[in-house]
Amino acid sequence: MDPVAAMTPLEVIMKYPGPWLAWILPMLGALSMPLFERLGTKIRDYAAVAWGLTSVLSAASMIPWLFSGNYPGDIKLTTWINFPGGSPLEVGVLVDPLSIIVCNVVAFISFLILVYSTEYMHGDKHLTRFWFFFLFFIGSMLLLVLSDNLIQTMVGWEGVGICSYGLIGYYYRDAKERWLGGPPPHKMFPPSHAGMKAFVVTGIGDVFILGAIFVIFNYAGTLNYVDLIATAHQWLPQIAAVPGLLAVTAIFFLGGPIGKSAQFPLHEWLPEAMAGPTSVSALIHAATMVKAGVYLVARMSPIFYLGTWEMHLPEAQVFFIVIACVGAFTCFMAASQALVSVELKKILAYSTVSQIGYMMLALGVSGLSEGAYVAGLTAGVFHLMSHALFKAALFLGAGSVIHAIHTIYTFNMGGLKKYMPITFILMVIATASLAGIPPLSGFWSKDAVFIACLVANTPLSLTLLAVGAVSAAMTFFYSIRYIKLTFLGHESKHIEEMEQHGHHPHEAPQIMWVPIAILVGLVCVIGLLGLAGFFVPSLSPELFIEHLLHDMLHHMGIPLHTHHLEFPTILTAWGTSAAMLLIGGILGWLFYLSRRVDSWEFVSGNSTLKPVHTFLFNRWYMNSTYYKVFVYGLIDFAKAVFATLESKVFDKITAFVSDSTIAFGKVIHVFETKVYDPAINVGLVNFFVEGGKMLYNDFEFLLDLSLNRGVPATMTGLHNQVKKLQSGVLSYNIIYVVIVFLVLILGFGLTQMYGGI
Amino acid sequence: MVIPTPLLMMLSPIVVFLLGFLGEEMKIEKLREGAAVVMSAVSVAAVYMLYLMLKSTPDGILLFHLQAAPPLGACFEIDMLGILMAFSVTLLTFFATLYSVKYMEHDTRLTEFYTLLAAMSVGMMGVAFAGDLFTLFVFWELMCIASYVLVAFRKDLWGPIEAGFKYFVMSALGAAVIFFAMAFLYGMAGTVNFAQLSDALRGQPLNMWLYMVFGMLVVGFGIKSAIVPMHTWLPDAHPEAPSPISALLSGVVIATGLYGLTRVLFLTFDPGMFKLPIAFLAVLTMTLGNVMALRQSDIKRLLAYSSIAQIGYMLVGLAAGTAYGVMGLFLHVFNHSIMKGMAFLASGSIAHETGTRDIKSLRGVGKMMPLTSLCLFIALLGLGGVPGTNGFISKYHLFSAAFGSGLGWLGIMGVLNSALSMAYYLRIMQVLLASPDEGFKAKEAPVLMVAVTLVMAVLIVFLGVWPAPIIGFATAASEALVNGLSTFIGAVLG
Repeated sequence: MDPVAAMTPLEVIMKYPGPWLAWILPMLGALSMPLFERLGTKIRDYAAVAWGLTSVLSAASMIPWLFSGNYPGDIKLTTWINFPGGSPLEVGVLVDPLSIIVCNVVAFISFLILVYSTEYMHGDKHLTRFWFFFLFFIGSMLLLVLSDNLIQTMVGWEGVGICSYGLIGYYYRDAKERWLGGPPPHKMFPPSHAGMKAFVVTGIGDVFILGAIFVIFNYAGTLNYVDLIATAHQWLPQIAAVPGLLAVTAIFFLGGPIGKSAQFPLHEWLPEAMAGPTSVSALIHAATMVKAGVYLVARMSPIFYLGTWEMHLPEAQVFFIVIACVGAFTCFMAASQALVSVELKKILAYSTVSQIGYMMLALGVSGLSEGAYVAGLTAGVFHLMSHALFKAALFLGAGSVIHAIHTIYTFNMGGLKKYMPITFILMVIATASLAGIPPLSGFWSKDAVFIACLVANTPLSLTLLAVGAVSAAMTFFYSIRYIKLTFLGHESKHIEEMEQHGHHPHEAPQIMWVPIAILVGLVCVIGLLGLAGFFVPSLSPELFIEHLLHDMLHHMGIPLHTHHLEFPTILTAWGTSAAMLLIGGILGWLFYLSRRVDSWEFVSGNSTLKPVHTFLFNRWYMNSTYYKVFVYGLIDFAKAVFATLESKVFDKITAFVSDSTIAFGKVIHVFETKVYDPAINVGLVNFFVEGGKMLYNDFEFLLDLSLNRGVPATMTGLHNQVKKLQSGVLSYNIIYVVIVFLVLILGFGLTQMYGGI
Repeated sequence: MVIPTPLLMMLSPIVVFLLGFLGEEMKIEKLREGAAVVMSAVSVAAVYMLYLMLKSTPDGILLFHLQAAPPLGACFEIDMLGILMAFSVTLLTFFATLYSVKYMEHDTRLTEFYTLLAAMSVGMMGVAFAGDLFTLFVFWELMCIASYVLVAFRKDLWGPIEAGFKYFVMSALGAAVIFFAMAFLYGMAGTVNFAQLSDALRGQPLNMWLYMVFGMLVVGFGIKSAIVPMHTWLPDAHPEAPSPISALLSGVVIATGLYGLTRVLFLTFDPGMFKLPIAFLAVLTMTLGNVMALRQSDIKRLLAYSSIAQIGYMLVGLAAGTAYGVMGLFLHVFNHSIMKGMAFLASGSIAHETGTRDIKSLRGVGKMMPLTSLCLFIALLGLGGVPGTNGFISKYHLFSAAFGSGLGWLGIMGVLNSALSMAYYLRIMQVLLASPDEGFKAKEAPVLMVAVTLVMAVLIVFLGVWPAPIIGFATAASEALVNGLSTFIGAVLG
């Protein structure tokens, strides 16, 4: 069964180069960047693109396995660490449809954005650092996806976290123009602050997931995904035997994905993460890294599925219920915040949070009823893929806009359609996909989420479907809003001023719009395939993914109950989508396209909507609450501790200890200089002849010294004594040796006398 | 009697001396350096060959009788533990010799230097391979005598002379005590051969004479391995020696003392008997080493005190008395030989370039000597036990061995001490990274010296990230000593 076991590490890599090289090469590339810098900046940029390409090729070499259905599964390289009381941790990659799909999406989009960045970041002085983090990010992300055990995944997980931190804070000099937030009078934050925030907030999630991993390892004795699933029937009931532990483990485990994928309540870092260069936002904070959480939930879901439906452990279902509720709520909340945001990238960031909510919702409802599992998993993975494509395109488009007119605020844009026609068209298509307009890819994937909710067919899943549906209406509304504010209407004052100074907004250079066009092209292709799949099922991407995942789960030995999808279900989902598009579309049309109603007057004139707007604009007051409680609260607490405990109690203890040490030192000092030292050094003869005389003098001197000289002399005395004790006169040293010898012998002698040891 | 080819490398001091002498007479440049480096490399290879030979034997022991058969004939009995020890020794000797080529180039009397260096290394190897007390003592003295002279190698300065003299007196005392203990053991067992000794004494009811022997062994070997309070010579001797010699002294010589102690104690006594006294000495040693290192102003002296502390950690493994503990001990011996050796070499480079060892006046060296400082950082982080370095791995095993054998308090003391030790390691880093004082200049050390430290730094990180091979090696070594004792005896006695 396992011919890999007998091979040396090198042979394993030679046999399956793709899954190894895909993440090793970009990491090597990252390390090589400083070297290439020596050869010239142009060569360095080309080298970065070349390293990215190697990763794409390695990832693509795995695609044939998707079609042949004969993928290699778990490939182990070598033993990394031997754990006491568990199976050893092995370095390995897990190559199955789930990882192949996600890994190809990541590698391919990363490469396109890499190409885009060569132009977008052109002329930046610190590009070596940029490429380093960028390539290292690709490597870490692929390591995370391809890893076959939780520890290796965590290594990649933290690697992408560090790269994210480094790239959000890329403009760490915090020039005023890079600040984010506002517009004044709202509070603004520098990029380095944003990077730190992202790192800290996701770090909270990481602590939780580590806790869960420890629990799992403690009971399962392994961290390998395949082994975890294969032995689930042994260890899962053991965890469940402790009341509440399984639920806590599930919730803790979800902490990591919730933090990484910016879900409620750890979603607040993502809007600020837009402080980095836009291409970074496109890659890390829209297309790939934030999907890591979705991937990990999908990866672990078979275990909890088995727990829920095979072993009938009610606590296992907590995993699905929590992630479904969190997903749906986040989806709604983030969409509502996107309605009122005034920064273009932030709108897209809220939209990302909201769309990831859909994926989490799909993965969550997959466990709500026995038959919905494959449908939910498929919907999650499909939406992950389609969202990665269109959201990357949207961010890159936004980058082109920002690149052209140097502002992040939508109220400083407007009328850009005639200056940037290509970007406009590409953005509109990608936006249509985001909004879920048929037949683009976004429609099919969002539809899959709705279908998954319907298939689950429990009261909870239907309620969550309603939440998701409302969010879909809001999605279309804010899509219309930002397209209008950016491209349509009249030029803003900012653009007019620019023109007066002779700067005309210009279309993005070819090297920037081509990657966007490729992404948009894929969006269209997948969408059209979806349409075609309606007539010829073998063409449908959704059914293709479903088929692959079904096979994969079947190989894992998971009993599946799939329902044949009935036409009314599909129709219901379509109807929901259409109704929501209609609601969102009509409102959007009224407010922004036809301008029948002036949005601002409408809101500010209405005593109900005004507070709602303020509420939404302030991000449901969550951000400020977090700051108030956790950041400033902690600082205040620290100050209070210092003022009370530290200065009033601990300092006193310190003073007391030092005082008593000085007093003790005084005694020792006197003993040393006056008794011990002369006794040893002067020797026996002198001792007998002059000892008595000296002893007399010394006692007199001792009194004088201890009473009159006081603290200063003893401090120096103590110091010198300790020094002397260490390396002083040779004769002392021999005395020590004799003392140790005697102590050992006498110790044994005495203990033996009293009954031995 | 057949002497296997790999053991012929024990003649390397003679080769180095002859070639060095020849080079001096014939004015062939760098002949002696070349000979010394090649011989030290050959020693590493020879140890590896012995390792392969040992792996192919069924009972895990290689026996070489030099003269007559036991009880009195000198013999080598090489098991996995000896190989691990010899591997640490030869590897560090190789690095130190390579480093000396550049570091010592302006000194005179270099033929003596390299000959003594090789002799010291051979002495340690002999101790590791010895199969009886007599052989052990002969090689022990070879190691000691070579090291006295090397400490006082720069005889025109007063510091080295004083330090060397003190070292000599203390160490000679230790050797005398060991010799006395051996006499006792011979008197009791009628043999000096390890296996026969163990056969005769282990498990016997303890009496006052055995306690005497135990005390003498601890004191005698303890002086050499600087167990507090018999450590007083070390903070003088190690800093005053030339840096490559400091590296060897701190890296392996003191560990050889510990090796001798471990070997003889396990052969003669039951672990339950020496657990508590050794644990007590361990706490004393690590605490005092760390406390004294805190306020040192001389960087090499600080490292010397840190060596004392590290010996304390190693004693934890001995105190645990289990195979796991001994595994941790020798894992740490190996790791410490690389880390401390490199720390001394790197600080030697710094002293070489700046002309001072005073920590306060080294501000900003990190900017001027980036590679050397980077290496020093890695070594210091390793010594402090930061995860990702090999120091973490071995300390982890040591402390968990302490917990495993019911000495939880000892493990806790170790962890606390480890935390305390970071204070002075970080102090060095902070000074090196500070912005330099006005007018202070230094350049990066010569390529050869930097290369040696870099290679060792890579080893530290590599073994910290992928410790599986060396842990396997150390496990086999500890099994040979602790659980394989009966096989050992059986193999020797036939």
